Amino acid sequence: MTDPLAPYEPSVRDPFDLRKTGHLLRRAGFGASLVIRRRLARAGLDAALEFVAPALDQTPAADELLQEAISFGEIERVRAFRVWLALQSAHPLRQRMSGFWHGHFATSNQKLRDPRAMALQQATFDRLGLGRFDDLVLAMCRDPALLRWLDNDVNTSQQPNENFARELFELFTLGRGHYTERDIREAARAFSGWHVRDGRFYFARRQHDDGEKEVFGRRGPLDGDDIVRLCVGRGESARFLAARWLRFFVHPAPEPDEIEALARVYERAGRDVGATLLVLFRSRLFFSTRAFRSKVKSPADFVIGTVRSLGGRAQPTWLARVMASLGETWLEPPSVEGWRGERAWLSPASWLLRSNFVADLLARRNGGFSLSPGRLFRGLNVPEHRVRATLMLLLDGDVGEESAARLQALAARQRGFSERDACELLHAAACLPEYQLS
Amino acid sequence: MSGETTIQEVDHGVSIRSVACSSFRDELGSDRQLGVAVGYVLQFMTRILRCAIAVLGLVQFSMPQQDLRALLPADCAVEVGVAAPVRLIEALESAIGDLPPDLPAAVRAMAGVGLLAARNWLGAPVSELAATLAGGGAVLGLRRDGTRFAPFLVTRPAAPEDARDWLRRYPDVETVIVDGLLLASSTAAGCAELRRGLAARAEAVGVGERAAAEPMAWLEVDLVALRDRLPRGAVGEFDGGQRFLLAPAVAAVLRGERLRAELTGGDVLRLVARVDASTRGTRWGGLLAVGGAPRPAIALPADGALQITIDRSLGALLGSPARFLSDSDQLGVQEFLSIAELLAGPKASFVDDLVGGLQEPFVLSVLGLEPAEGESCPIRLPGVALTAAIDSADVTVALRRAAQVLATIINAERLEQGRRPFVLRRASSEFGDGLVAEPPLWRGPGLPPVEDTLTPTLMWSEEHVVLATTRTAAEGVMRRVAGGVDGVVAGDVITLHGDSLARLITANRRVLELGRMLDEGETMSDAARFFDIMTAVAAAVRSLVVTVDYGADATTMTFELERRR
Repeated sequence: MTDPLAPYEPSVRDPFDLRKTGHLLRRAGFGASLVIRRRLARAGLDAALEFVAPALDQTPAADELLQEAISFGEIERVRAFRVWLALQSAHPLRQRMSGFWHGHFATSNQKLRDPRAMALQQATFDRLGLGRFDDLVLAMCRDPALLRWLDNDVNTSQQPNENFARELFELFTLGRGHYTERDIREAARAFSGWHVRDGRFYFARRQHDDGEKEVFGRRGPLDGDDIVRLCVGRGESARFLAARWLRFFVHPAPEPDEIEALARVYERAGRDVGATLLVLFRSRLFFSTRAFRSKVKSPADFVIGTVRSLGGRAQPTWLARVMASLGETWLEPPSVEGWRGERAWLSPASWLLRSNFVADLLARRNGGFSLSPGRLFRGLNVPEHRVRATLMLLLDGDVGEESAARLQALAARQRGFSERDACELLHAAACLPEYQLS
Repeated sequence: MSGETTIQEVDHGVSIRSVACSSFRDELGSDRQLGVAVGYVLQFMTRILRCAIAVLGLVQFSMPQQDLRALLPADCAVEVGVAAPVRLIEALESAIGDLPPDLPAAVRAMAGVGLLAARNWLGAPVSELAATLAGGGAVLGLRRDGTRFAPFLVTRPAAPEDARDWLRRYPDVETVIVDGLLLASSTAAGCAELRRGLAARAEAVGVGERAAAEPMAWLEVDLVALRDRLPRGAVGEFDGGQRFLLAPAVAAVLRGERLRAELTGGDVLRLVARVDASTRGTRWGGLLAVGGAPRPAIALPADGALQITIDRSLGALLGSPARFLSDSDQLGVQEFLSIAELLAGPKASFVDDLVGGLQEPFVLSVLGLEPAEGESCPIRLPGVALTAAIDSADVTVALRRAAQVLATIINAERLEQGRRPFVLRRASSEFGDGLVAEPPLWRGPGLPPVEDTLTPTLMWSEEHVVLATTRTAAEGVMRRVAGGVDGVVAGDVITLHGDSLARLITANRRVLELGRMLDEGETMSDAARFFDIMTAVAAAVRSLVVTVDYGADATTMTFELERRR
C-alpha cells in the first residue's frame, strides 16, 4: 500500500515548474506575482516552502499595528487590516491559516459588536495558528470573543449553558458522532464560570461547578483545560482536523486513506499544525493532478489573489468591501459553522460581481490599483505573445485549449494595443472558468 | 599715455576707445590738443549714448503690463500676465524658501535630481530662461475658437533671437520679432493679428502708465465668454455639506462677469482672486450668517493647529432645508432633527431655541496637543473646541438638558456593548460653569480606544458657550474669551499653523501611517515616507490663511502662505 503523503520528488519528467509553484502559492498563501513565481520555480520546492512559511517571520510589526487598528473601534478598519496583512505579509501561510482558523472557530462581530475582541482573536490565530493545536484550543477556550459568541459568559454552576461545550466537540475538535449528550452536559459544567470581564477572560470561581464530572469515561473534578486535553488527545480529533485540512488545502473530497495518513503525521508531529502542513505541502498528493484547480476560489482567494498575481497594490478597505459583496465578510461568518465554501461561492450574481471587480480594478475606477495594466505588456507586439503573458500572469500558463483560443480570438481582434486593450485581455482571462478555481 | 591712464581710471569700459584716441592724437601730430579735445567729446558722447541705451533698457524692462496687454486681441477670454518674470521667480523662491531641512534624504535627493532634470530640459536655470524669454514681461491670451482656445503670447525678451530659438522646440508655435517684442501664436495668422495690434496700439499706449498698480503676475478671466464651459449646475450636484460650505463662493463665480487673480511673493506668498459678483441677497447668500459683515472672533492661539470660522448659519440650513438641500439631503436633515428635537426636550426646539439661541457663526478650533497621561491611546487627539457667543444665559438651560440626554443615550449604547458608562459631572471654574463627561478607567486588554481618552465638556459663561473634546480645551477657550475677544474677521477665515500640525502628525504617526496603508494600500515604508514628507513640509510652514470675503459687489478669496524662516 502506497503512502498518499509520500514526498514529491521533482524529476525531469515531473519538474517543479511554474504550474506547481503557482499551485503551492495559491493554496498555502494568496498567490504571488509572476516575478516571484518564476524565481521560486527556478529555485525549487524548498525555496518555495521557505517563501510561504519562512523560518523567520519578517511581517512588519503586525502586533504593534494591532493597537492602532483597534483604537477607533471600527470593524471595517479591523477587517481592512486583516486584508492588508494578507496582501503584505512576509509569512503567507500564517495569514492563510488565520483565515482557516477564523472559519473553524467561526465568531461573528454581528453578535458581539466588539471589534477589539474580534481583532484580538485574529491576533491569537496569527500567534498560535501554526503551533500545537492543544495550545490554540486552550487559548480559544479563554478567548473573550468566542466565550461571548457561544454564550459561555452566562454559563454558571446554577444554570449551565451547553452551547460552548457542544461546539467545542462538534465543530472545533471531534466532529459529530464522537461524543454523547452526557459528555456535553458534563463538559458544560467544567466550563461554568469561564466568563469575560472588561474584555478579558475571567474565572468566576463562585460560578464554577467544581464537582465531579465524567467525560469520555474519565471521572474527576474536571475543569475546562481537562476537557480540552481529553478532546485533542483522541484519535477522532486527529482525523477530524486532517479531513478539514485536506478539504481546505488539497481537494474538497479527500479519500479516507488520505485522511488517515495525515492524521498519523499530525500525531507523530506532536499535534504541531505547522509541521503537519509542511509534510502535506511536500507530498505527491498535494501536487497530484486531482488537487490542481479542484477547489473554487473563495472571494478572498479571488480578490487578494488577483491583486497579488498582478504584482500591484490596491486599497485594503475597498478589497474588504468587494469580498463582502461576494459573500465573504471577514469577521462576520454566516454561522458557527463558518462559510460553506466551494460551489456555494459561485452563483450567476457572484460571477458577475467577480467580473466587475476585475474590470474596476484594472481600469482603476476603484481601489487605487497601483499598476497600469499596459505596462505588463510592454515590448510584446504580437497578439500571441500578449495572450501568453496574460495566461502566465493569472493562470501560470495552465489553461485548456478552448480558453486559450478565446483569448487568442480576442487578442486578434484588437487593433494596436492600448491600455484599454490590456485591461480587456486581463479581464477576459480573469473571467475564464479556470480562473475561478484554485 | 597719461590720457589713457586717466580714461581707464574713469571707466574701464571705454579703454579700447581711449587707445583709439591715442592713435588719433598721434596721427594729428601738431594738432595734438585738438585731437585730445575731439577724443574727449567722442568719449562723452559715447557715454551719453550708453547711458541712454541703459536707461531705455531699464524703462523697457519696467514698462507696465497694461502696455503688453493692449497688444492682445480684445476678445481673449483668459489673459495672464507677468510684469517681471525674474523678479517674480525670485519673490516666489523667497516665499517658498529652500527645501524643508527635515525632508528625508532620499526625498531631498529626488527633488535635487528633479530640479536638475528640469534645468536640463529647460536648457538653462529658470531665472536665466525667464530673462531670455520674457525679461521685460509677458502676457498670454486665450481666445475662444469654437471648442478650442487659440493662444496669443507677447513677451519682451532680453534676447529676442535666443527666445525665438528656444520656442522653436515647439513646432506648432509661430513666432515673429517686432521692435524687440516676441509675438507668438499657434498660427501665422495669429502672429499677424498680434503684429497689427502692435502697429495700431504703438502710439496709443503711454510708457509708465499705471506701472505702480501692477502685480507681479495676474490672471483675468472673462466669465461671460466662458459661461457655456462653466459647470452651471455645479452647486446643484454638490451634496449637503458641500453646498453648506462652498455654495456661496461657487455661486458668485458662476454669476460673475470677470475674475481677476493676482499673485505676489516676498515674505508671504499671496494669491488674491476676485470675482465681480456677490451672493448677498441670493438663494445661496441665505446661508451666510452675518452676510459678510465683520464680526469679533477669537484668534487661534500660537500652539493651535487650525481654526475655522466660516460665515454660515446652521440655523438657516436646518430651518429651511428645502431651500438649500436636495430631496435626499432634506430627508437626512429630517432624520437628524427627529433625534435632535428629542435631545432638546419637549419644551424647547432644537433649531429655534438651541441653535437659534447661539450667535452664529461658530468658531471651530483645533488646539495643541495636551500632555499624555499614563498609558494612553495610540491616537493623541488635539483638543477640539466649538465656540459661540450667546445672547442670554437662557440657551444654556436647553444645552445642558440636551447634553444630559445625549450622555444617557451614549451610555445606554455602551452598556449594551458591555462597556462602562461615562460619568457626567458638573464643572465650575472662574471662567464659567459646565458639564464634563468623564470616561471610565480603562481595564480592558491593550491600550484604551480613542473615545475613552476624551472628556467631552460643555462650558458656558454669560456671553459664550464652548463644546470641546476635553475639559482642558474647554477651559482654555473659556479663559481666552473671558480675556476679551479683540479680533475682527469678515467672511470665511481658515487659519493653519504648520508647526502645530507637524506636532499632531508626529504624535499620531503610526495611526496615520496605518490609515494610508489601509486606505491607499501602501506598504509600511511607503506610508512612513509619505508622513516624513508631510511633517517636514508642515513644519516649514509658519502659517496658511485662507479667507473668503463676501462683499456687496464682489467676492474675494485670499490665500496667504508664510514660510518658517
